[in-house]
Amino acid sequence: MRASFLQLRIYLWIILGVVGLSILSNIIVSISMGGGGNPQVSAANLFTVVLIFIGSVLPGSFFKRTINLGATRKEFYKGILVVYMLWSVFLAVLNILWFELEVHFIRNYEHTFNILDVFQWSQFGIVGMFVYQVGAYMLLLSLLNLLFSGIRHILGIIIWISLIVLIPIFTSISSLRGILADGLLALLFNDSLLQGFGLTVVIACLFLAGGWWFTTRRSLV
Amino acid sequence: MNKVNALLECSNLTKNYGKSQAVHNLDIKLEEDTIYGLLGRNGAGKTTLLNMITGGVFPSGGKIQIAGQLLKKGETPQDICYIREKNLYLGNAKVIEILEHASAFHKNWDWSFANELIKTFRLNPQKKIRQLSRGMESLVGNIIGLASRAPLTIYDEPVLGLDVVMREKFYRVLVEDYANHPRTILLSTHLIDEIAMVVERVFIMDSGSILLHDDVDNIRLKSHLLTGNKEAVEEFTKNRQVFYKESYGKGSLSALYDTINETDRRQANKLDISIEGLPLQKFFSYVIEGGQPVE
Repeated sequence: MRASFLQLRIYLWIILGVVGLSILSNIIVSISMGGGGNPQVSAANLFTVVLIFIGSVLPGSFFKRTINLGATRKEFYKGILVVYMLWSVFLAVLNILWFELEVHFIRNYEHTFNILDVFQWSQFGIVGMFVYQVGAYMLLLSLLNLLFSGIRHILGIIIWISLIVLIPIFTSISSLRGILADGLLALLFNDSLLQGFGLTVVIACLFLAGGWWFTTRRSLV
Repeated sequence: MNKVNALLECSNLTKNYGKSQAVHNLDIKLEEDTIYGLLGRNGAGKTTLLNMITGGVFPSGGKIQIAGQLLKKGETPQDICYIREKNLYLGNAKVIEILEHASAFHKNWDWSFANELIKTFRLNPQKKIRQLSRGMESLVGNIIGLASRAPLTIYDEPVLGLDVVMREKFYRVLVEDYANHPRTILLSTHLIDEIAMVVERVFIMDSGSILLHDDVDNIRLKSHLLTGNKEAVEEFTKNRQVFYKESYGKGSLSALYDTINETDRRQANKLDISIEGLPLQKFFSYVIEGGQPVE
């Protein structure tokens, strides 16, 4: 955990700096515009971007560094799973606390966009918001983990290329767009907490299994 | 002490990179509680071999057994401490943080010894890795290797960037600690004469194969340099293992790997052949130049 924090420290500072600057500039703009006319993205949501760095840096350069210090592949993978879980829980709690702050205080002065509203996770109450977020964050982390663990494997490269090719195809052809939208609806906008969370967990587990498969095939040179 | 148990055994080990063969059909066996030297020129395949043993690179063929257990593809062996030539420590971490992280992965880690080594090698534990010289980085690796007290510790070029004082200090600490805590240590290096006093057995590797493996004492006893008249040297070395030959005019120089007794010495004297022992460095050069396996 400490080693991963050291590896991620620079990215955390960058994101904290960006979030801090964003809040500061929004406050300045709001004051100058008289308030209410400047909708903002939730600061906690902005900080959640850190997940992208966690999911890409840890299976990337952190792998070699950890094995170099004497960890086995199993120890490394178990370690990053714990780190993923802890960050998902931390960010879920942070987003809930910030959301409550927005609803009860900030929105009296400013309109804010929050993913808990956008994905309608707020309909499930505090426990539901927490569960849904943890599932969604783990899904994102596991996908990035899969992609970056397999970045030097032929199958991993095929997955990268497939994603790069499929995303524009699925978003530009209307019939496929419908399928994509249905998939996202089932995953992220599902009215059933159990279904939505269950699906994200199952897919995250598949991605994590794929990530482990790539990890056992990664060389250190 | 009985040294019969094989801690590591590789058989028929091969590694190909495309069409080039970095290691081919290599057999190696490391026994418990022995210090080994792995000697070879740059590009001989030493690092590839070590990477395969430690699970960092996967063999193209052959098998590796560690403490009797087959090392499967993707497995990283436990109880091995491998100090790479190219360390990958996090630049913004402090020396002490790197040691703390390493200690988490080695169950025999000795903190009091690690702290003692920090003082012995005059390292500042609060200094960041990126502020260290190449020699100091080597020392961080050497401290990890020593304090881990792993049953098998492997060093790849452990004295890179170290001055002669620090190199000698490292060898002395290594031998002293080995005497108190016997374990298997494999030192891969091209600074051969320096490790001659440290290692018990050596493997000489070239072009992906082991050319020789023997006890250092045996090598000292059996390696000789003969100089004299060409015909006389040829007569003397008939039916003996000559691993290197060089002619100059009517004279000849031959490197011999065999036991020479008093009778042999008298015969050499009669033939006007001079016999000298070979320093390990010279022995190594001749074995490599000869390019043939030495039994």
